Amino acid sequence: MNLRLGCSGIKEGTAAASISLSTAGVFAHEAKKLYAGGNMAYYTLPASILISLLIFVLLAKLIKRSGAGNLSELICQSADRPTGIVITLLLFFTLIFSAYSPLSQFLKALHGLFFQGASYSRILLYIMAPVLLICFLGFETIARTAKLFAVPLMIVFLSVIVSASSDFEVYRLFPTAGGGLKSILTQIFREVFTFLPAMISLLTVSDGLNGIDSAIRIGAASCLISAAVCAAAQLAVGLVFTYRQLNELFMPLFRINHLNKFEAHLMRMDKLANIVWLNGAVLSASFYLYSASRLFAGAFGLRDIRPAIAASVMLAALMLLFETETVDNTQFVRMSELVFRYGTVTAFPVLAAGILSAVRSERRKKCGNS
Amino acid sequence: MRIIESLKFDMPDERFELLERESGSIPHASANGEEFRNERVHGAESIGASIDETEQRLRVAFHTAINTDVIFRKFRSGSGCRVLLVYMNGMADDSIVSRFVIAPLMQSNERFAADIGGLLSKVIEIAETEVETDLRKVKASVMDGMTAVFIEGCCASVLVESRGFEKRSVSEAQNERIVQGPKESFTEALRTNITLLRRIVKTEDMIVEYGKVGRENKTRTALVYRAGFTDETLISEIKSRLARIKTDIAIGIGIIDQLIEDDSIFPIPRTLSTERPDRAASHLMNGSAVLLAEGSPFALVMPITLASLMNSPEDVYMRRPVGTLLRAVRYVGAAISVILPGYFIALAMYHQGLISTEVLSTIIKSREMVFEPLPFEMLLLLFVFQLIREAGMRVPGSIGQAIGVIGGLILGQAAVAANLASTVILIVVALSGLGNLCIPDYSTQVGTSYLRIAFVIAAWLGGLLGLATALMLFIAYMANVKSFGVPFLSPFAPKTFSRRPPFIRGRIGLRSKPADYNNTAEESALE
Repeated sequence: MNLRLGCSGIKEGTAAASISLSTAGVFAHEAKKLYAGGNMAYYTLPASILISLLIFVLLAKLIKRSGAGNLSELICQSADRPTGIVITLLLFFTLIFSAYSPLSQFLKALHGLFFQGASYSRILLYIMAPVLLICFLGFETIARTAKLFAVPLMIVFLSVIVSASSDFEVYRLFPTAGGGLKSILTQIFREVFTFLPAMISLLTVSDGLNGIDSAIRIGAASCLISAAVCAAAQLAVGLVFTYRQLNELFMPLFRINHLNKFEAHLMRMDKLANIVWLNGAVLSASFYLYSASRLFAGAFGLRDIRPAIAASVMLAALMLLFETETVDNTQFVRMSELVFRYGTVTAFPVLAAGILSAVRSERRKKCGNS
Repeated sequence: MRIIESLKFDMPDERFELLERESGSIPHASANGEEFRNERVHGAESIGASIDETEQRLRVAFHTAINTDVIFRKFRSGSGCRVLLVYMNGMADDSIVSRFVIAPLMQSNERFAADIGGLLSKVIEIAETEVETDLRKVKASVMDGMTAVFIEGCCASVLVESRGFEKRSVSEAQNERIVQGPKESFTEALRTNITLLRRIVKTEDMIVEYGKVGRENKTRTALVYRAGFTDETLISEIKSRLARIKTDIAIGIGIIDQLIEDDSIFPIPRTLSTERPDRAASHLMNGSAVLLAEGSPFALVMPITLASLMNSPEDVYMRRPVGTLLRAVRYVGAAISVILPGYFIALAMYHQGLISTEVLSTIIKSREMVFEPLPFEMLLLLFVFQLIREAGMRVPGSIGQAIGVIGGLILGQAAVAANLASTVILIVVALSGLGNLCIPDYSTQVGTSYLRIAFVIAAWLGGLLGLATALMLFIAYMANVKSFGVPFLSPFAPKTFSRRPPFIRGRIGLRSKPADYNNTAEESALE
């Protein structure tokens, strides 16, 4: 078998998951949806992360109970092969969509702010080449590279927030609950989809994390870290811009210094920060795509993961090209909006499969004992 | 070929893992290291009872009709036994052979044809002897400087340690000079090098395992490690890699290094080649293994990490804050060396907004009359820097230094005056070159100096995005690489047990614990 999984420790796994969760929480958003009802993302996103953590822990316990090594095995054990394949494919496309989402934001940012003259496909080449190579090198490399990039990413993140702190105004945070409780709950539920793929990815590679108990610890630690990061980022953005401004802004964290300190010396840092954050998005996409390939390889019994990786990376690249290079992409955009809105429901079949698998395993144990 | 092999689908990943093995035993490892001897399986060549026949066979094998280096000395012992002595002129010490082998044999009244043990215990006055029945091994030992003693009627030979060839004395280290600390360096003599190590490592568990590498020239090697301390899987992996060497000629440790390394694509070495016995001993004490070879004034330390390549022995000889500062400067220098030329190209060509107006105008002004494009100019100057460095290395000491001065000052000034280069680029290249020279390991220096050219090209093609992509690929590849099973970037990633980042020098008293990534027996016991 050549699954390129390797073995990663708690710190490496936490770094990989935290970067994926934080990138999703800070960059992979539709501003119009997130700030429609007011400035409440700084508490709804951490709440969504905590719900994702609950689902993750539940699935992890089910994996442990059923005796499976990872999520792929859990799904395959749950029902007959076709059902397992259907659920796997659902997760496979979810993960590919999650890889596509932050990359799409960065692709647009790079095109709009750095290389206006270059075509999207040319910029995409620079983004997808490391994604493909890192996926090919395997999860161990993804986790170790994430560990190496975690500190620079955090330094850049904090320095950007600190440099913007002179523009913080508390009044901009209002309304904190514009749409009422219903809108808050809807947003929390909808945003679970932003974070769930990272947790699913973690469960997919749990056998490369020294077991499921270690994976649970990694999941908990990374959720806490990324909840803090997302809360800090959204709070900083909320303190600098009003929710009406945020509705119009593209990648507000990037603009946090750019708009208010146009003439200042620090404005030179924002492009660098964007490049550093791009590395986070590349790592996060690699993590999702590797996990998607792992699920695919598990469901179809592939002994070598690399063809699946090549296919997943190609699929993500095609989605990015379709969004950016086609003349009429309204259908695609509408479809991706739908996925964002109802993506959270993907958790249900996975949970059902997990419960079914655990029940089957219990029954088998009972039959064995009797 | 290796790239094509690695791209084949459905092939098992057979990379050796020391810390994290996915499953199963280490591939190709021999359990007891028998293969380290690397003998060709042709069967033994027995020694006949007649010394005349043996002499004839050896004369044919050594081509004595034209090769007069091999000395054949036939005589009768005191008891009347016919004795044949064979040794290589120049490799063996004549006085040792005369005083401690020929003289005692001639004076002895023992009849030892049937009792070879008697010859060793009562007659030959040399401590290191060996009885050998395979003529092939006898021939190899004679070539190596030993003396073979054949007795009429005895089907074995006694090999006597009589090596006494000319060798360079222990001198000062040339490539790894330090201000404080020992000055001596390894020599070309294997025995001397082992002695230099033993003088520092005074533990009874230090093992020296001899072997031969190369099918034709059979270079003598010595694998040094601490028995019961150094990871046994590491030792068997090294032995198995040495045993797998198929080449006919392996002269020197540099060739052996290439033959046992994981892959040759990566520009940064995966073993540490050091000429300093104290450095090799320090790694030995830390749980690494050291390989020495006859004729090589270098020791090969394995496994190593990037952090050990960046450390200099001087760090521990200096006081703690100074040692830490030196290390930090070295890391910054290495980063400048690799990134600065590419970063400058990216800013100057694509992201002028990131440069202040004053600096930008200085750059423009300095390049006003320069005819070639900016990236060409950078690549040209980097090439010139490599040229000066290479020329300085190849010529004798004082002339080499003069070339550095001429190249750096006169050539640089002339290039600016002739509008071949701009002052700003000259400063960038000089800074990058200085940073490169901060890297203590020579192979790493050379590897990174070529790497920065790749980064310049990446920045030329894609600005900061291209540079970031190239850096990402490089770091990811480094994170994937292993040195004899140990992750190359540990203790950074994976985070192994360490009290502090590797660029901070710790207190001497706290350094008694071996490096976690070496997976030593002490570490295993603690777990």
